[in-house]
Amino acid sequence: MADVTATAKTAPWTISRTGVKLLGMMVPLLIWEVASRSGLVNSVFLPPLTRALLSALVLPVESPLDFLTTGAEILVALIVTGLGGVAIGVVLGRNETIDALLGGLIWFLYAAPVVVFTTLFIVLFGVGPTVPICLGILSGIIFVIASTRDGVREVGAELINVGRVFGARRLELPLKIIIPAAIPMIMAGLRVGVGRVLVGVIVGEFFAAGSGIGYLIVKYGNDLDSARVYASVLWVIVVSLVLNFVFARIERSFVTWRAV
Amino acid sequence: MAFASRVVLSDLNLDIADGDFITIVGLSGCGKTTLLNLVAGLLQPTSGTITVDGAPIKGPGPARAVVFQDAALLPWRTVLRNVELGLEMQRRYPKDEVRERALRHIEMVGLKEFANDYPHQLSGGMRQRVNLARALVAEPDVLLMDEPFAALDAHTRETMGDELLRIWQQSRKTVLFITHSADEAIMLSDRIIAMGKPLHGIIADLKVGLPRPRSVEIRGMPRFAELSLQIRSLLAQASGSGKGASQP
Repeated sequence: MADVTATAKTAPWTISRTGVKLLGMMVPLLIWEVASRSGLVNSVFLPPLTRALLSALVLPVESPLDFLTTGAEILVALIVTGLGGVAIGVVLGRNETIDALLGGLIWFLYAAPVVVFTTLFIVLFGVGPTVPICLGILSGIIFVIASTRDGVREVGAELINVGRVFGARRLELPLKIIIPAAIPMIMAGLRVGVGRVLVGVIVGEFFAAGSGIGYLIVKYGNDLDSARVYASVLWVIVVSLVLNFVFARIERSFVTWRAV
Repeated sequence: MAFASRVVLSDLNLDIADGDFITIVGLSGCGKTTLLNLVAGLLQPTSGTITVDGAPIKGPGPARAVVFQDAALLPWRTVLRNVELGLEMQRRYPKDEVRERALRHIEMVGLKEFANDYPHQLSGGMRQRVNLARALVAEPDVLLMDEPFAALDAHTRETMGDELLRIWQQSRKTVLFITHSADEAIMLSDRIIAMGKPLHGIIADLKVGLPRPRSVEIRGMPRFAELSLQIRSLLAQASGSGKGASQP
């Protein structure tokens, strides 16, 4: 009996998928650098990539206070959005009357582009960190409220009865049973909400802060310092990516118990 | 007892003595789950009273612990933490004693090696054992079981029944057990309440009269067959089909 062996023809070198992805990213970046340096595109609008990157590296050292301000604003906004959103969502999910009463307001927040409140907030709170924080909260909280409310409503009656039978007190039922049961949906809402909070804070800083990364974007835009504008934008993107990554990790660790 | 505008139970009078193992058998929709929920305090009667040891029931509580059907374990907690739930909210014992009692009950139901596993890692029968351990650790006056073995396959169901009796023998708690199965009712209990169509209430109250402990030989006894036939024909009559009831 003859042995049959098949040998696949392999290329002398192979490119992995990641390799292709990296190559794909390199091309537009290269085009950027060349187009800018060669004068093909006005370097006021498109500074060379290398200059923008250099500027980005230096930016936190140049303007540490702005970074701290934005960081603090984001932190405060996230905490309020997270805790407040979940709490309100639980109340709405558990209480039909309140849910019906506030339903209209919730829909309004969903539909309205929150940015329109900027002027109102400036009038109310003046220039400073409050406006970005409020805008951030308003942008993100609706998603946390909505998905928490839905998650809470879906918690099975049996689990709730388990809580009741074994003596759960007023605050124990939501804390020990309802919220944990609704965690998957709450997490999904938080993930979306986090991104929106970031946008809200930065946009707030465009208009109404005296400091912050968003403020820097506007300031350097006005100065026509395009390298620093791009640098600031890059930092916003970095923050967004980090937040997203951290969130996805947290979400994954919470959902390990889910039955298949 | 009425739901919205539908009366489900009416003119029901039932006395249960301490230490009895009572089963309620009945057709679907006869109100047996409603009855259990009323005794548990999960529902309030629209008229009439339910008393335990002479005192009327105002709401659910660990003194009337319930063993639910399958989906009642908290999936984000381990077996140990689930069983601890039976005691932790009562604030009767300090934390380490709660843990010790929980472990003891986990061992009692034969799941010692699985104490740190999660419900989704266990089989249906094992999950029901955890349900049972959790109800027992709460030291209830009455144990209420709502078709606890309904979601299990026939063999596991019988094994669980034997397990239940083995554990029950140790403490002799009052048990109110609901089932569809006439044979399961006879095997487990001392007294069988048969319920018919909705609103017909209790159609029979039977003394089982078989010796304990119940072993598999019980099924061969004439009294077993007699009761089995009696219950099936009662339920068949009640359902108005006239044929033998489709009871396992």
